[in-house]
Amino acid sequence: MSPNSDKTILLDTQETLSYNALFNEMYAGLCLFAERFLLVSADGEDLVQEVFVKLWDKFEDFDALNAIKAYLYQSTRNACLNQIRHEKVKRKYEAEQVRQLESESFFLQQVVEEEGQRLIAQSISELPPQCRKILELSMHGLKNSEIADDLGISVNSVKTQKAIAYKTLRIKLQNVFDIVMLISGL
Amino acid sequence: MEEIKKHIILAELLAKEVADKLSDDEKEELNLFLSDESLTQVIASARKSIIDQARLNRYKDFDVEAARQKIEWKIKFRKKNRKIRLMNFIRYAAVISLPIALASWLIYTTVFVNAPQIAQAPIEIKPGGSKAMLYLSDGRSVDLERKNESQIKEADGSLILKDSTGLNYTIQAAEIVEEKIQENVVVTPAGGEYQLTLSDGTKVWMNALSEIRYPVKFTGDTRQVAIKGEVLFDVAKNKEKPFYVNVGDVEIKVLGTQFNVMAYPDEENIETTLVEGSVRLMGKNLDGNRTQVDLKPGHKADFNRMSKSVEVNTVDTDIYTAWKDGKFVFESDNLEGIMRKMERWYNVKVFFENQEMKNHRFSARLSRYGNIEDILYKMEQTTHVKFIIKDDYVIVRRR
Repeated sequence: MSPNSDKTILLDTQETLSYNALFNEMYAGLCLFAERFLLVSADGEDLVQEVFVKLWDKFEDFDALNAIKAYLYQSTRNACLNQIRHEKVKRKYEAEQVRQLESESFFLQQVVEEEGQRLIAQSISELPPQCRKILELSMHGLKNSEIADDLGISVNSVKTQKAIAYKTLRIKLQNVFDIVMLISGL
Repeated sequence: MEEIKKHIILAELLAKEVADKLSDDEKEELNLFLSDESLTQVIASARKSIIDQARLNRYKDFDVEAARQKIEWKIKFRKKNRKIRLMNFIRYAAVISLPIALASWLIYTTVFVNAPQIAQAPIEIKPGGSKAMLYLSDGRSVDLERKNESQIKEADGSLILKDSTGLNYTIQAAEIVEEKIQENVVVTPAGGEYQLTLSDGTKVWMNALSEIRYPVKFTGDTRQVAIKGEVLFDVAKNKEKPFYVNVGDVEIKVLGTQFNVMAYPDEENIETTLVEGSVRLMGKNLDGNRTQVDLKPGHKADFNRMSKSVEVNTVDTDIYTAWKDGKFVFESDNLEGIMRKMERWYNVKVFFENQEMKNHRFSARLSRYGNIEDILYKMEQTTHVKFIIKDDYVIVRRR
């Protein structure tokens, strides 16, 4: 509960990086990355934890953040493929599925998508608390009036905070519903 | 690896593009990527998927802190596991080549009897006791754990008495020249507690992992001290010189009284419990405006570090001050909070294997000078919890 063991390295950018800080930044993203490969996403967390355990011993060998990230994505993918190949024997994955999941191009595509999304999620998490809460509720599909009720503030406050959030992030978030509407030609 | 790093850089550019935060150099970089035909499909697909709200909502699903504790635990214990597995393998391999009678005996002893642990010097978990470090104004430090009576001389000539109950600043040599204010600091470690009497007669009890800064002698119109951790005060009455306690975000003005301040950095609230007299809490709320709350005896004020709001309740103050008399008093406290107290007093690290155990509640009144095993055992009796002690780690799981 009180973090005691940690390691810190000096990066080529002259910044320091601690193992725990790296873990906090990358853990969720890597679990979601593993989910892109595994059918049963519950295994993803254990798998990613093992990847980090292995990283502990090698941590001081690194001196660049992107190199560590590349190592983490690669190791997670390898661990997923090991599991998939094992599961294939139990007939849980089709041969064609496995081939697709094993492909280099699929891997690199997932890296871009996951890392990109992770960075955006991180910007959202860095918003001031109430601003972030409002943005998250809005992303869950709540209307301004519903958010105002939920938080006990005025609709105007909600609109103001939303404007601040969008101004800080300038993110145009894609609503799943928008896509559906587009496809069905409505 | 180079190909992967290239895609990581591309991802960062695309995320910045969405937020409209690309520098001119980065715009150039992104254009280079865009001109690479092999990446056209990748970029088009990623631009759509990285702003997908449903997926962005998923990042909050993970209890990152719980996972971090788990890997800290895995890193610490994985080497031992490897040794045990190897020994088992050797045992089983030996069984195969032996005649049946001997083999069955060996199977019995390995499979049905617990494998002997690899002998190591066990780390004993001891309860806390009187331990602290004193830092004098010239930087000298004195270890206060040693029980001998002695006198410590400060730079300005004033004397500090140390006896078996703690430090005493009320004895002053007559010929002190008051120049610069001499500041002393007392710090308690995990498993430490200490008592002192300040120069005005104010009594101070310090819990584990705490700190108090104070002047050797109170001069001027006010008496000011600063604390961290958990400290109980019995402030000597002096209407002419109000007593102020600084706890980071909160300042407490004291008007001759007995009160407890709990301000550990890993707790959500700064809690001030008033036993006798009156105190005024002063702080700033989120808008930067000054706020203050006056407490009456029996009141406990919780200042939330995040929201900077204060909530006052009437409580049985004994629950919050019993530590100074060597007791743990839990009144429907949740296990998470109780285990944090165990960590500070017994100097152990606690891991929750099952997160939902954090919310189990317990009530108990126990001596804190007893063994941790006794306390944990009592808790195991009342609910579905199991504690496993390994060296100075305590693992909490559901039974």
